[in-house]
Amino acid sequence: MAGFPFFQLDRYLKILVEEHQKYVALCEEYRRPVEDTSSKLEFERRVVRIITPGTLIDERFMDPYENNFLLAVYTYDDQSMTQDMETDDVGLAWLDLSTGHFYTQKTDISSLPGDVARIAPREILLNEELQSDRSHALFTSIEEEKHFISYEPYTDLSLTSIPSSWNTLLEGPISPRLAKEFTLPEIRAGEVLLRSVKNRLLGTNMRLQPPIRKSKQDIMMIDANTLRALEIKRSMREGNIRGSLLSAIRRTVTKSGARLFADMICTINSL
Amino acid sequence: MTSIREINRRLDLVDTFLYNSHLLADIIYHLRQTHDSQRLVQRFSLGRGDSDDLLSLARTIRETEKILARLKEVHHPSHDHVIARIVIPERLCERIEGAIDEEGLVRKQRLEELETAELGKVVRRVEGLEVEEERKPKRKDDLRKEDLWVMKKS
Repeated sequence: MAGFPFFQLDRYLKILVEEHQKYVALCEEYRRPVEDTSSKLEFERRVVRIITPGTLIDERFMDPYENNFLLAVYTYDDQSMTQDMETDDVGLAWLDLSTGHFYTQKTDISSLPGDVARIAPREILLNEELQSDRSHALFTSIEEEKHFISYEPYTDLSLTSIPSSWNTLLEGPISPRLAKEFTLPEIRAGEVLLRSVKNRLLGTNMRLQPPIRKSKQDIMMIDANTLRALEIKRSMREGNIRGSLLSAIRRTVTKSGARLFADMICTINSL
Repeated sequence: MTSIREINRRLDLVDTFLYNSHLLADIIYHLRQTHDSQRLVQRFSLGRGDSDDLLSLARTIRETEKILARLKEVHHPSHDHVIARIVIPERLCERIEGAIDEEGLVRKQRLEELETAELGKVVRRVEGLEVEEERKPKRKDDLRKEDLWVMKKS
């Protein structure tokens, strides 16, 4: 047991979440209604938020020059298998709570390492059933030591189109024309992603931008090894931004510009 | 990138900035005054924004307005595409500026800073890190001076 004054919260969150990679549950005190006689206490404590590396909002220790992505990976499993899905199809959905960006992409097992390296998520969500199945092809692409992985229950994922529950979380509605373009794996990954974020934000209402589909056709693919060998985002020796291509040519003035630039440099899109 | 039209458009854009260093310097100057609006807006979406964030947002909108005006002044065809993408939420900005008393906010923040400093002192005392007794009165003097200065400022 230990304690610290509340205004030191940010400092300790950094230590717990960033350095020790722990989940932190944040409780706040609420005054009980007078008519509630179930307890003598005047206040009750409720968990209002669970903080993980992928669900930071405005903590002061966040890197303003990089996106803080939380990525959900959906792979084929026997229960939710339908005919319009190939066995090596993978659905990806990722979001940055601090900016409200929300993306999805359909990919396959063999290009997954490149996708994960490009997105560079702070946290990855995987099906909890995979936890016992180390032989799954997924683990050759996502190395557990290198990423913060959370296992989530992937239950009730039989949906085949975007559920209406998404609309309450989005800034604006998804146009019906665009909604049709989303593939099954993407929708399911998105559902897992939104569900777990909602569970962690408990008391907080969240609003995201409508999802943007990234499709393989308009991205010049850079695989994980190339990204590393060319030292595009990180230098090879120290693994940080100093000495990388990004730091050498980054002349952006604003923080959002820096994030856009980092995104553009590894997803060279053909508009 | 595979579209030649898009590549040429971007090169044209680079060109105008390269040969018009005044324009470049002006735009950079204005951009430096802006705040991280993406993250600011998201703070409000999650119900965590405060009045300071609102002001930062209004300031960012105003700077964007200046950038837009500056680009229009140059009037180069390669900028049309960029100009078309900028929409100024004028009404939002006016509402923020009309609602928040900037001076009052600065005053309030200074008071809060003092309170936090005071709180920090209490904690240090509890932790037994408070230095010798002699220095205590001095500190109180410092604080009083600070108080006076705040009053003068306002």
